[in-house]
Amino acid sequence: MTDSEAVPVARRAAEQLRSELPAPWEIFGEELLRHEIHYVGDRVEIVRGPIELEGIGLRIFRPREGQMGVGSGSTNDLSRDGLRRALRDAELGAKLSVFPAERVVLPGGTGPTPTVSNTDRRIVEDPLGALRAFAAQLLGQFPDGGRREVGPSFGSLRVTFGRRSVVNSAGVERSDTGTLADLEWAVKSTAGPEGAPAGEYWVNSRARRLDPDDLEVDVPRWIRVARDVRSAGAPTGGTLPVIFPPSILSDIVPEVLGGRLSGAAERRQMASPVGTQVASELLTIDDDPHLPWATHTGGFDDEGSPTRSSNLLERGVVRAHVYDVLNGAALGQAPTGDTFRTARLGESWFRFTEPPAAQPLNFDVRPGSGGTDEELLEAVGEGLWLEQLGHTFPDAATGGFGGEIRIAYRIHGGRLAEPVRGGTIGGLVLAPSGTPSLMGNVTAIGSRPRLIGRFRSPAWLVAKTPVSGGS
Amino acid sequence: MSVLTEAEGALERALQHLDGASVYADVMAEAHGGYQLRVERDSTSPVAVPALRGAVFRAWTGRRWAETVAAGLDPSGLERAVEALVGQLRGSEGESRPPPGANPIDRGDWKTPARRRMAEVDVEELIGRAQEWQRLAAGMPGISNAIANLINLREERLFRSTSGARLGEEIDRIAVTIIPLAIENGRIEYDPIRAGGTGGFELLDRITEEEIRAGARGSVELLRAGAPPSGRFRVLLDPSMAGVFAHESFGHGTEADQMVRERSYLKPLLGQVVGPEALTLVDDGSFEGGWGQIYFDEEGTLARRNVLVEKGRFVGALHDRESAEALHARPTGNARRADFLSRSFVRMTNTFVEPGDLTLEELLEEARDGILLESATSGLEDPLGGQMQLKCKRAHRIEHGRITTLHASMALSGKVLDFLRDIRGVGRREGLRMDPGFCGKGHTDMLPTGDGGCYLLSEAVVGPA
Repeated sequence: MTDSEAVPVARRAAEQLRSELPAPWEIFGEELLRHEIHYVGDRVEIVRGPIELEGIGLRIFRPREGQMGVGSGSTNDLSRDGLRRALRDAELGAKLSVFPAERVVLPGGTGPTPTVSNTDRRIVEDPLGALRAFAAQLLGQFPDGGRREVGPSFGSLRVTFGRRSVVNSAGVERSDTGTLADLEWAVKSTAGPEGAPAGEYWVNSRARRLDPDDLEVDVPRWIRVARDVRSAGAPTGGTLPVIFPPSILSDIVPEVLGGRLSGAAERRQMASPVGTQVASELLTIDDDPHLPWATHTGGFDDEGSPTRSSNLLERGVVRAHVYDVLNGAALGQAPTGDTFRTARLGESWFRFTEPPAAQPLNFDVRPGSGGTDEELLEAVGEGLWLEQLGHTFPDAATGGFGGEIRIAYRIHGGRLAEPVRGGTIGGLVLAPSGTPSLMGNVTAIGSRPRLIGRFRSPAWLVAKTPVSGGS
Repeated sequence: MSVLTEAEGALERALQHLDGASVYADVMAEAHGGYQLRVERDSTSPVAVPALRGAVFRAWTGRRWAETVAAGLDPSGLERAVEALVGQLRGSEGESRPPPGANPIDRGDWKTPARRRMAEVDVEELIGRAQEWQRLAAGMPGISNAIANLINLREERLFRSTSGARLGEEIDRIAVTIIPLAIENGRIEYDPIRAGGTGGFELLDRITEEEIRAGARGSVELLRAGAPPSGRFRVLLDPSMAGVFAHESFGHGTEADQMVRERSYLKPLLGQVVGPEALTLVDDGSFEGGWGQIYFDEEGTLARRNVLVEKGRFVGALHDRESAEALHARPTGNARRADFLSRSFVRMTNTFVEPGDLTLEELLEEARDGILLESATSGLEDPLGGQMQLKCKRAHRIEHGRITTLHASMALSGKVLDFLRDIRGVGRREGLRMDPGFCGKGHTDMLPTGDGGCYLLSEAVVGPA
């Protein structure tokens, strides 16, 4: 799998099935190598890997009476029999399905695609060594190695090196490599007030690389927050100015804004139409599929179309929708190179099993004039800084989000004051003009962006945010 | 057991290879299949469930478990996985202790009982049924579109161990979600109709026309729902919310691997009273027809009913072999993996609130002034801190013991132990309902779990979600 000279799996599958595959067809392939280390405290609980996985997802398209039959099949059994079973599944699906497109035009060409940064060489060359070195640096940030008042309670580090390939009947033949680093870490604290239950800060992140430099900043913050959980009181309910850092926005905005700007939503008449104001004039957001080290960065998308940057929101007004091959065909639009095979139940480390769907790949929020986090706090005076919400379960259909305040800080006199915990925060993410929403109520945007997964943004100050108090 | 039966000889040979290298080893092989359908106004999309096949071999090194994965069932791949595991065993020689708990010895084969097996149903027939649901929902006044989703997951698992256990199961999980979409002036609302469990085609009869019509009417009503109130209220949880409470808020704290990590607020409370006598909470992997049903777990322990809270007393936790040994308990059949590619953790199966003795009218009267929370959408666990978060699609004010104003999308938060202490009543069996869901350990490792129960009355902070 790590041999870049070897024939990519999509190509191998296509060669095996070629005589049985009437055009148009598409094969998406992945070859993956995964390593995991799981910890209890600072002790290694289990090392897993190498876990090798190869698989393909194939689609076939059958025009029928002015509509399209679309069939798909996926498998990790790459024997001739296994591939034929996947093809049979696809043929049955194509026979029984109906999609409102007369014809599809698959992307063609084998020309160069943009070069991007998405492969961490340390993960490629020595995955376990890279994991162990990262873990050592992480544990080294805890006082006493994390064995006393504050330290890790459990965690896992998982890295994946993969090669993705797309081949289709229109002549596309592309492959690239990429790495993923998943960190899950619980920091537990018993420091602080007597009698209070232990505090915990739970970190979950996905990135393209292991970046030990971030740990010097992040781990002391995790420790501080885990300690503060123990002394946090209930927030005061009401409608408050609230600062949303990018770590929280990244869980909310891509899901809802991305869903509302997709061709699938447009076909279902659930999209935010191009030209409508759905957010504050302070918000300008681009789709940048070449953003270095963002999780959805790539030179081509999962249908083989070259990726390109586009402006999604300009001063709060919708500027573009994004289209995959099928929804584009139904709506008379060309695919925009934004298709990603999205996991049914959250993001997985493999996606050949998942159906392709278009959403903006990476969200890049243009920095505003709000300055540093400290300057934003000063501008707020009195309000709330959110540090972590329970999962906000953003809903692209209704546009809603909402979650429990796991930990936040009251802003008093323009500075962070006491920690608070409990109560909920929620509402609509975006809405037509006149309806209150998170994106509509933005009154300042910071100047210093941070990349979290596929979302790069500074913190946002959102006025008039409804907070349900814990008391 | 067609796919796995074919591979059983190769699995057996691979396991024999491990027999001499370790005091104990086992293998779990899996094959997945099935169908999922999505029917909308303008499209019908039947898609085969990914045909993933593979096996995970596990052996005791003398100090810990080691495991390797074969992503496929071909004999050469299985042998490679075993050789890699033997290599790990060689590298961990030295001081040793026996594996935790007793090695499994049970044998048996199980299959989901069904009047009509899903494998015998043509996809066309499934599409026809989904189209009926979609047309009925979409044709209701005020509904702009409707989406009908049907998923049938067919799982085959085969477990063998060097201690002689041989367990096989074929499970059919079926879940349906119908989403009537009400759209007006850019606002979109829906009140989904859901059902699911293990069984056969007959399970689809649980979706009734009246239920679909009610869901469609509810979706339209949500467009006009008032702003949700905020603050502390008496809250009456419907069975779907009670189920999410049982699973997310309480159940995760009973997973004993979290206790071993000193990461459960419930650990010091084992044996103590945490709620009123009316409250009994159960996790039951053997619950016939439950979406989270399994016949045996990843370690070859047979699934069973495990009472977590009995008449208000916290009496039991969920275990795998390791946590059971560490905490002087018995394995409970709750070691589960998302799939052969993932590691095993202690996980729930079907978790629910046992029926109490109050009617809905009596619970409303007891609530007097409060909020009825209905149609759960999500919940989140906090096994260390004991905080809770539940969200629902709709809510009603309760005023003077009667259901009044409708509100859309609300969230409940607070401390689990406070919520348990404040429970004022549990509904009767007539209201019992079990829902299908997926649960992660952290943000990954999603697997099917069922939850449910009866109406549950307590107090909590609520607000918009």
